[in-house]
Amino acid sequence: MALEFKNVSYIYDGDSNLSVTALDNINLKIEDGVFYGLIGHTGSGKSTLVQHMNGLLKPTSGEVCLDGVSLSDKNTDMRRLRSRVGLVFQYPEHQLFETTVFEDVCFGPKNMKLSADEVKSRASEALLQVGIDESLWEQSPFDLSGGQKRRVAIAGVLAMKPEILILDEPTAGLDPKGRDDILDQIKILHEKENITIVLVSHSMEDVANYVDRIIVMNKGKIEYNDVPSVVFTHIPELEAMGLSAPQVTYILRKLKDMGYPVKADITTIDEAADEIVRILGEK
Amino acid sequence: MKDRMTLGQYYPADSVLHRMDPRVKLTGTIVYIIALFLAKSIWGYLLAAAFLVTVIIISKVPVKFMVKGMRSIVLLIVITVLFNMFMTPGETLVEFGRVHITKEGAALASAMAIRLIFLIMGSNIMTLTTTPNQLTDGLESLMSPLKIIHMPVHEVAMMMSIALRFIPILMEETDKIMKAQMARGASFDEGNLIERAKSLVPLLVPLFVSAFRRAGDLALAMEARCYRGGEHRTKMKPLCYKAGDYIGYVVLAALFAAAIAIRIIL
Repeated sequence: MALEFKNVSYIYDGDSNLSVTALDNINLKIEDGVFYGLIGHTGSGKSTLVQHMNGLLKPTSGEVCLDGVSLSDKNTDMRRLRSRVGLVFQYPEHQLFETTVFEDVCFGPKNMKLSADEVKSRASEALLQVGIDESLWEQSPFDLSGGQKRRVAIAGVLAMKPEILILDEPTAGLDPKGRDDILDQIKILHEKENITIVLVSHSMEDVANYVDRIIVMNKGKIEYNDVPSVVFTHIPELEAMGLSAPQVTYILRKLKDMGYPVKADITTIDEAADEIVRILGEK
Repeated sequence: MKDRMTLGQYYPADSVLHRMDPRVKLTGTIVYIIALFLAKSIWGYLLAAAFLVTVIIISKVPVKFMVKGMRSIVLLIVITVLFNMFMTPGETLVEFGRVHITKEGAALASAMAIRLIFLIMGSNIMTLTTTPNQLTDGLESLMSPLKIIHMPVHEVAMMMSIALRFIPILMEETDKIMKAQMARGASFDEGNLIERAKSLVPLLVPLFVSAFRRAGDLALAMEARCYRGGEHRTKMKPLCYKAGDYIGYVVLAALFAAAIAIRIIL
């Protein structure tokens, strides 16, 4: 299934003089099975864009289509749509409310009106997918650590078995280990279950290490939509938008400027290490 | 959701009313309300109307904003009017089967509606022209005589300003949590009354948790800045009457006198 934006614009407070154009004529296609990174400066329209993907916001003009059907259509079943396009908000642990971890994860599948057995099996599966140990399932979600809470909240969306999973800044406020754990688990999900992932982030390192394609947003417009190695060749433009490239990209560019025969379009640490070893070997 | 929140929101503008001392405006609102309730004849209402219209004009707040604020109390007015119209005994005016509208009922209902609308409009003018901070400063200063009877005036004012400050934050939070739960398939507008009440649990629990978390954070931040309550506390911008404020008091005294005079004479 493909999610497509056709000339989508969205204006906040449309009728007053305080109106803000959050999305400006967006055309975008989210392809199946691709791991997308969505980056942009604060206020660039990332969060507004992802809220259009599951119909929480309706475009002021243009349309968002899932399998060719417009989400603004009155006949669209919003529940079904939201189970197919799962959206994990920023700080998702703030939405936990049930008495136990397990019950909280059941909330989504229950809303899909699945049978009790199916709800339970999906909740267990989702909790295991995000690496929450069975001994924690009967605890109150409010007693968990920050990283655990976040993973439980992500499981709450995963339990609906979405075909597209959107995560808005899933690593904000986590320590480096918590961040790597969550991103690794998302990567595994993507590879095993072939779920389409949209990862909203402003950490270039995170994005470069995990994603297949990068969508760069600036002032409500999409500036780039390409593979990381191509996007990160536009360093001056990215810096003008308040963004940057991964640190290794800067290092390799500097090495190249100094006359070493390295490729400058490298975006991950592993690739950079290989490249440096390669030129050392040649000498 | 934000559209519905004009009631009690500041509208920035540069007018005589905006610059006026909040104590005058608070006293003014009370005098105006008393005048409104003293009114018995048409003249009393005309006096209140004249005062209200003048104040609205000099406030420079677009009438649109006041009408928006009224929307939230339409239901209250409708219920009041209906009850007064049908429940007041007296001379029958119109009759639908067993339901009577009496002359007295109609008169009382319209008087009630006018009173309510004037009341809300009058207090709206105050909150539209006064920032929440000024408002609580004014209240604190007006209530300071109560310190003699050991009323914690400063603490009450501080609580009020914190509460006011938190309204927009909690509104935003509600919006966020609602969206997050809707993304998990929750729905807040279907089913019968019990189902709807139940559907609020996933919204209210996280909202309360977050309100307590924010309150804790705020308390910690205040302690870290050595906040000790009202004693010996000075203000960065102490309230200070200016010439215009005394004129304001004179006008209010005149309004008060006129309201009493009309009540007795006419």
